[in-house]
Amino acid sequence: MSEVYKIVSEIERNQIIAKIAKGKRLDGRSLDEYRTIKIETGIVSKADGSAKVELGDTKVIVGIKFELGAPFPDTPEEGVITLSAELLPMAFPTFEPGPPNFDAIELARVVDRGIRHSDIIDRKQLCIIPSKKVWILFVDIYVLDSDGNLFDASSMATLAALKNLKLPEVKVTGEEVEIIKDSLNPIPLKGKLAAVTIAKVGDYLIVDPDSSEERIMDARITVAFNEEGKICAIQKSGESSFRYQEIQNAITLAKNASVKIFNELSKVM
Amino acid sequence: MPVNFENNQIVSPGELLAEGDYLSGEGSFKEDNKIYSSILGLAVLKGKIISVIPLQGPYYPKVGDIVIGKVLNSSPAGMRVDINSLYSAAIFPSSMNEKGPRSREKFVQFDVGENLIAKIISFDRTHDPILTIDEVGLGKLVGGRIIKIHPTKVPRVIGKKGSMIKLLKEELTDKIKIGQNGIVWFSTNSDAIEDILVAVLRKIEREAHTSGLTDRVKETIKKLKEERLNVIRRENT
Repeated sequence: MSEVYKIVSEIERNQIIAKIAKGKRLDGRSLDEYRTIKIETGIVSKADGSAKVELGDTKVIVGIKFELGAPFPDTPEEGVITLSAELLPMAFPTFEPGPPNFDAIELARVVDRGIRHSDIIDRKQLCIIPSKKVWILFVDIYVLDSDGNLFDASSMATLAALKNLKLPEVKVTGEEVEIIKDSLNPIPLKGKLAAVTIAKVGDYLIVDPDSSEERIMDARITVAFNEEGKICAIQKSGESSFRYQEIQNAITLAKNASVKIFNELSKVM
Repeated sequence: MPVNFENNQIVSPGELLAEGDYLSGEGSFKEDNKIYSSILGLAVLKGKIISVIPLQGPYYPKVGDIVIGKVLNSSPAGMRVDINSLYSAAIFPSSMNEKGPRSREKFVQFDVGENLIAKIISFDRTHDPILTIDEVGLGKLVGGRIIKIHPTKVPRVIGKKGSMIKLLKEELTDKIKIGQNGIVWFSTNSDAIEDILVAVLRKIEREAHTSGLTDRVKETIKKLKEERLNVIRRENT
């Protein structure tokens, strides 16, 4: 039955494009307007850090668990952050159970790249004994409901969950590492991160596409900024291409939209 | 032979509706001469048949219904059409003739992704619904806009003896078609009318269970139209 959702009705496609040409969208937003954002933290009691983000009808939960383990041989003094994303079958009719597919892997990679290259977490602080014992963080993204723009929602949720994360203190005796119970401290984060997705429909660029717009878009670009407005990561996907000027415009649009994300994140961070 | 409910009362699954010589209709079942509800909905007694109209749920095809669909697959042998239901429908070339004015027939070819309004001519649980477009008013839909509403709310958009649809046609646009499967197609001349129509349809969907809806919708249309006029006036001055 998933073919029903892959084939977009001609009338639906034309009505979206006609609206966008007039500078409006089907749900009444303007082209550069973000949907309403709602962020909650600490909603999963069994996780060590968690957050839920609602972006319009899109709902994403992120949970983080920690573990003591060995670092990668090439970065002996750095902790490990492992991101994975799961598109739950209940989130959208075309999502199927099973191992992560292309979209889930891309989602995890884009969020991961934003976190990694913005340096908001000092991974050296996650190190306990170099090349022996470090903290390993497992960040799991669960998409509960998909109405487009999973990149931005997941990235916001991951950041809020990292802020919510508390690590215990450890006692080091020789090579033995012991976790001290009931001694939880939040990890220091340097600034914030905002990923903004821009979709290209015909010759127009729109911010924060919903699922109906994602189905008809030609291409999309996700730009991640840190709080100073520096670009940390860019991901482009979709079949069509962006011209140089379009990328410049997309970055300007994304930068303006990131203000709203930073405002919402400030409420919980 | 007692009946345990008033007409249009909300009942839940398993609720005893009646005892004795009654027949179970849609949304109810009979056991030991007692009739129970099998879904959450409004109980209705019509003659001797007790049925429950669901509050929510997918569209279940019925012979004779007019539906709006989307073409999924097209071949010389026929087409597969999505009708927003558990079942996808089929349409065969023999019934792909549109009936125009003076009963002139024209064979229509469809592409994947195109929309059509059609009538269900045959359906039971052993085979998928079969559609036809050879009746006046049926056929390919071009242009305009499509929105989805809950299939269970469709009777309210049509209204008693078509009162609501008549109101919408008089006040807003005469190019509006409603499929029993919850898909509404319309075409308007202006964006303002389009926005009002969408708002009104959402209002009908939201307040479908209340009475006196047609009158309130009439007032809403009047209010929204005046608001639009004021906006235009302000822009002009």
